[in-house]
Amino acid sequence: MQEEDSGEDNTFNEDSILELAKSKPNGISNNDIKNEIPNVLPEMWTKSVNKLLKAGTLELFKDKGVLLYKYKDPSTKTEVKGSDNEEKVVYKIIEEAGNKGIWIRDIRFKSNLNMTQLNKVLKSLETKKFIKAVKSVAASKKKVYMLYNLEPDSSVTGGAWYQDQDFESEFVDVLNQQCYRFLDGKREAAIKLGGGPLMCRNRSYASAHDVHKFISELGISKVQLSVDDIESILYTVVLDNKAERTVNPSGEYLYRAINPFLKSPGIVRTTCGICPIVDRCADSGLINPKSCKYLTDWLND
Amino acid sequence: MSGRGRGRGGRGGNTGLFNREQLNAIGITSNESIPGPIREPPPLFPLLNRKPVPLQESLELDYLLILRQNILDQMQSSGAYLRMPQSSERLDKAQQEIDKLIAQLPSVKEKFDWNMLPAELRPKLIAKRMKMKESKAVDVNSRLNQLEKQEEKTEKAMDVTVKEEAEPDEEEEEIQENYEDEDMDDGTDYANNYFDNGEEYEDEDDNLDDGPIY
Amino acid sequence: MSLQQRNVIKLILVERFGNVIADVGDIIFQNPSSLYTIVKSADIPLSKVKEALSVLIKYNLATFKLNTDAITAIYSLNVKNILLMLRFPKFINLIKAKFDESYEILVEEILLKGCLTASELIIKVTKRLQEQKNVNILLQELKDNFNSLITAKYVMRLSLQSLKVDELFLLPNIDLKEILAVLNGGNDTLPDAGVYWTINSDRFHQDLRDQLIVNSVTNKFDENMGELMRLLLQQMYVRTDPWVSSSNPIPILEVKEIVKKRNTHPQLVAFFEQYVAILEQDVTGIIRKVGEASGGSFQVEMKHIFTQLTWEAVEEIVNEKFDSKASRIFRLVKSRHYIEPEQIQNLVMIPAKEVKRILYMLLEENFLVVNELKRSATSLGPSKSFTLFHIRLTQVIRTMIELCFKTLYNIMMRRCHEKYLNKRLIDKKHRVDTITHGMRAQGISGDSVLDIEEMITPPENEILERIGKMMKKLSLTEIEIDDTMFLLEMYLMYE
Repeated sequence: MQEEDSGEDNTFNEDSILELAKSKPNGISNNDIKNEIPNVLPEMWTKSVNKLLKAGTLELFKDKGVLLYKYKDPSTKTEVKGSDNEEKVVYKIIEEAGNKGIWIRDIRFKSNLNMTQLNKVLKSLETKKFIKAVKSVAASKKKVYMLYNLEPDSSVTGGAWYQDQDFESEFVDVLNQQCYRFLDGKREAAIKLGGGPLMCRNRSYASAHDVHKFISELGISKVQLSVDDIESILYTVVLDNKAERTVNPSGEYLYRAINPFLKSPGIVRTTCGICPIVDRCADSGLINPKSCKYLTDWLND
Repeated sequence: MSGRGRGRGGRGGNTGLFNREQLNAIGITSNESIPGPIREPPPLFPLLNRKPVPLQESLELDYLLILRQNILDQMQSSGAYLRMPQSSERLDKAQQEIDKLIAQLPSVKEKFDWNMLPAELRPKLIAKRMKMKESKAVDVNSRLNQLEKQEEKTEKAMDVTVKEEAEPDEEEEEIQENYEDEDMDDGTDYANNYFDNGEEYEDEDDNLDDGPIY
Repeated sequence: MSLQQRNVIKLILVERFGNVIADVGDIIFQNPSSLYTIVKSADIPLSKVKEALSVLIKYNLATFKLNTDAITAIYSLNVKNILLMLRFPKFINLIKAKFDESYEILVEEILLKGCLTASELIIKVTKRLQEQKNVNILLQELKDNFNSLITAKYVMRLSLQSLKVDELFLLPNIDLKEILAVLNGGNDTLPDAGVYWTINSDRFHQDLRDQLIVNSVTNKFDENMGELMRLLLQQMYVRTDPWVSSSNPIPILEVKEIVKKRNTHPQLVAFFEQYVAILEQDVTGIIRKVGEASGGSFQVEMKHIFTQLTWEAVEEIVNEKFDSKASRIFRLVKSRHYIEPEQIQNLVMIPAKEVKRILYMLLEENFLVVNELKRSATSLGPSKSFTLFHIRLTQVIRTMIELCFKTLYNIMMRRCHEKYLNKRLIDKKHRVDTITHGMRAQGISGDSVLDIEEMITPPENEILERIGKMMKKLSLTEIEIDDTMFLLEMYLMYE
């Protein structure tokens, strides 16, 4: 999402820098770049330079204490210079997988290489920075391989909810609460406005767009969230029985804060109803109602 | 296997499975790194990381509690609450005292309509009486109505009498349950003064009602 | 008939009838037995066993089947009625709320006695009211009130030789002159001897059920919607048997007329159609439109309502027993009926590891079940089968009822135990209270009463207070667990 929003500018910068580097085979300095694109802020183009360096289209040199960037033809890269046939086959397979990556088992399946061979090839390609291994969020121990210069798909990184393959539980919880807060506020406001129950109900509906706007304005998210992201969060509010979801005539989901039918059932108002060891509780055992620690604590509470 | 390895040295103070040399041999050199041989068992009650939802509070619930307690109190002091006859020597002094107090409570025996119950449940005396009546009723069919009336009267009378003093025959059956005969002059004098007047209290149920709820 | 249930039954009997009856009850709980067998298995004298059985039968807690000799019989326990005794306070309260105090006392006396004749009841209640200095009560009023309890079917005849349904509610022959004679010390026979009355628990349950529905609708929507629901149920009875799963159509104009006439909820009068529309459109499906004519007619979906309420209760139990993440997963499985673990992970927004842990926990405690579905042989791919999570609500409910029994038993057991531990002190307090009460009744007051009250020392008073709080908590829990049981029973009844 980040790339999409600021993408155009950066591509533009990258192209200009690349053109400049191509025109000067001996390399370009920071000053050269500054002169070429004077209207772009340094922090913007340094970002682009870093990206190009990472992708391998630029190479960094130091000449008499001056940093120089040199253009490196990507076509030479794809050839996998100095590789044997096996490396070429594996590279091809990984390339086909795109930014979603491919599991080692599937590479083996497709390449017909045995495990030792394949590991060697992968190791070699990795050290040459042709490919990289990315931890997938789908399963904690699974790695997928993709070309070195690719940005992993959100299905691999988990999108907005993941930071370095770790699911950001607290972030999701905060969003869940805030979404509910918004819906609840909307309902409260509708009740205050009055005008009959039907009006009240209809005024308390909100779409994911409305909630998205509210969350964006709150500024609690360090990453840019999409409307779909908010839709996912809103569904968890529905699953928490705090809101209901309906579809409006144009096929859009609408959400509304709701109350439950019941107060907490009596059975969970005592420790036995929530006891983790209730199955081991008996008159004759060490865990019994007469001396139960949970009951004692609760009774003296 | 280990027994052979440890030899005679095993008895002298060293309670671990390995002696020092053996530990050194496997790379454990300092004392700290030897894990203690006894590990703590997991706690019987693992930490409960949540609390039950608080009980509700309302006037209605308070009233339900009072009703509940009233029912229990009345049931417990009614004739339907049966006690085992107990021999007094087995009981400690406090228990005897309590029994005496209980004995002073209006003891109402439960009334039964014996027609509702299988004949085998009838106490001997009643069984005898009812049999007599039945046979009479069969003998003199024409006077059935009159007899029935009489029968009801007798039954009624019987129901009432059990409230007063147990009839002599019944006493025989309940001979072990001789609370009435208990001597009650030690320690509980006040109770005697105010509660030895039987009859008047027989239908009063609320003399136990107004304490806190136990 | 579980062990937990047996334990609860025993404690209910102990508390109300003492150990002798509880022991006898326990024997016939296990197996219907003859008098001989009971005496042999219990260490209780024959006379006491006979008395115990007589009491149990009188209170409709045991039944018997006469043998061919017409003298001996086989006795069995009426488990349902014993459990009902936990609900008696609610029955009494219900009558109090619906009628007035004299009705309340009538019902309370029937509950206390198990069964009695109309005349006996009126005599008893009159005496009780006289004791309370409530001398204004007229015998005629009591008789009328009792008759209206029968007409409203809260009270019915104890059916010894199975009576026909309409005979159960035939008004008794109450002769007030005879009753007055008895009250004045005469000992006349009463015309209704042998005709016993007892409570009709179904009728009470019907009211408790309606109350539960109205309260639930009020919680979810508002007071006005609650009132609409109440009136819908009231009008439902005009054309519908109380316990069918879906009512006959109720013309909504009928309800509207009542709302207008009563005029207790101006908001409901003003927006009647809107309230009906909201209730009908709501996803919970409480009512269903079945006819358009004259403003429309609606069915009350009783069975559906209880399915909804029960789901919510179970979800809430999961929420409290585990946590909100578990209830989120539980609700997702509920809404999808069958769902793969990967899908769950994608939708609940909980870390994968946590989802796995919760799924395992829910599985282990029988809130979820797993269905393995074999992939068809033709399809390719590494996995050979689907794992699908699923909820069997009825099975969950049965587990929950067991948990309720277990909890009830634990609560009651703990209460007995705490009482036992502090028996000496509680008895002392009891004694002092009895004595001071007696003294006051005799018109004695002042220092002599105080002296006796002071026999309980301040530290003792402190302990008593603590025990009192404990007992209150335990008894409240008993009342609340019974509410949970009631809801779950209703669900199973409609199932």
